[in-house]
Amino acid sequence: MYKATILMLAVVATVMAGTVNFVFEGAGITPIGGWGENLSSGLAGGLYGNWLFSPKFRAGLGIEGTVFGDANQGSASFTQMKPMGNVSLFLRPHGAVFNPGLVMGFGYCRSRLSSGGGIDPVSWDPFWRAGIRWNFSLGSPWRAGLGLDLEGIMASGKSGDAFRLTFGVSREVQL
Amino acid sequence: MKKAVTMVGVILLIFFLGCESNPLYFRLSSDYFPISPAGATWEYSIAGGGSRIVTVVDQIVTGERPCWRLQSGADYSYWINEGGKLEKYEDHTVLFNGFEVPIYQAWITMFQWPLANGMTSRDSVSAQAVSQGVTLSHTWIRNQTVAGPEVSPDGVWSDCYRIHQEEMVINWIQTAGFAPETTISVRNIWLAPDVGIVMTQSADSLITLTSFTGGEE
Repeated sequence: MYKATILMLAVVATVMAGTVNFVFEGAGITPIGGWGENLSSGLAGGLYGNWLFSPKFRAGLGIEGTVFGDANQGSASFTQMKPMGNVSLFLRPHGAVFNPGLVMGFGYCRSRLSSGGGIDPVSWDPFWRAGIRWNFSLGSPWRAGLGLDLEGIMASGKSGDAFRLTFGVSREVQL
Repeated sequence: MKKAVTMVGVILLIFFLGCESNPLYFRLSSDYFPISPAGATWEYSIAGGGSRIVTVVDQIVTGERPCWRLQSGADYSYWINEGGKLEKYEDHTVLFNGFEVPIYQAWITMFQWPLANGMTSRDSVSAQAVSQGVTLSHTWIRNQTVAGPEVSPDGVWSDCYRIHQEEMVINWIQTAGFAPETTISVRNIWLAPDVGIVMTQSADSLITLTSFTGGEE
């Protein structure tokens, strides 16, 4: 899966020379609804490459991994892997202190539960994400962003919804 | 540009064709042993004749902990479903020389949540008591393996977990003329989401859920 995503990124980046904004983002995830009852809050890390169609509008691909532990000091763990496409719109792309933005993501989520030495069948489900960002400069060429997202994994029977609090660093690379 | 989009599309198509979806989030959010609220009732039929009705009666304090009391016929059992596990209160006694001798009283973990295919656990109790100068010992060992998700054998309930239990009980009255008595029992229990036990199968019995009524919150 990593290889496929890296390959896709490479293909897109090679064919469409221009400016790409690379973002590394970490997040704390809180499940909404009963699916997270026996799980702790999650930690996520993701890497995104977004093509700058204009200074304000970006679109690209990314991949994120999330891990949840056991809420009751047991042995359960739950992981998610999300290859996705992203679009984002930033209102003041060169703002040093305040560059508000909207982000959306669509992709697939691979969910895997292990507990007590057992592993449930892995599930692949479509997922979406929408959120807001407060982007600011860390000194050229680096920027950072704080954000809040709502995401939903459209699994059969019950969706896996969650809130995300994110912090990311990014830089633009001229290809 | 067109080539790139086509290439990415083909890669994504190949990538996702082999991916399967299943109701994992539904199972995670379901209660596989709903012992509350009061009024919940399970009606079982017993193969070969007979039936059993289990009802959640009320919430009381037993073994110094608040728990739910379930009634089946004239018997009561006591359950707690919190902290990621289901516990049952065991009050074990042995009949010796006409006296009921208490051996142990304890909360025993029945299941840990969340269940997952291949999950295993081993629980045991070893206790003894002295009555009329004679030591009575009791050993209980239970190995459990979880399988699923699967449809219950009667085809009624989906996304069930099957709990395979192997239980060994050794009772020993440690005096002349008594040898340790060992009993081994094997059973399969099917748990359905938001319903609980829907079928129990052992070497000499088959118990099937015929109706379930949730209680009122």
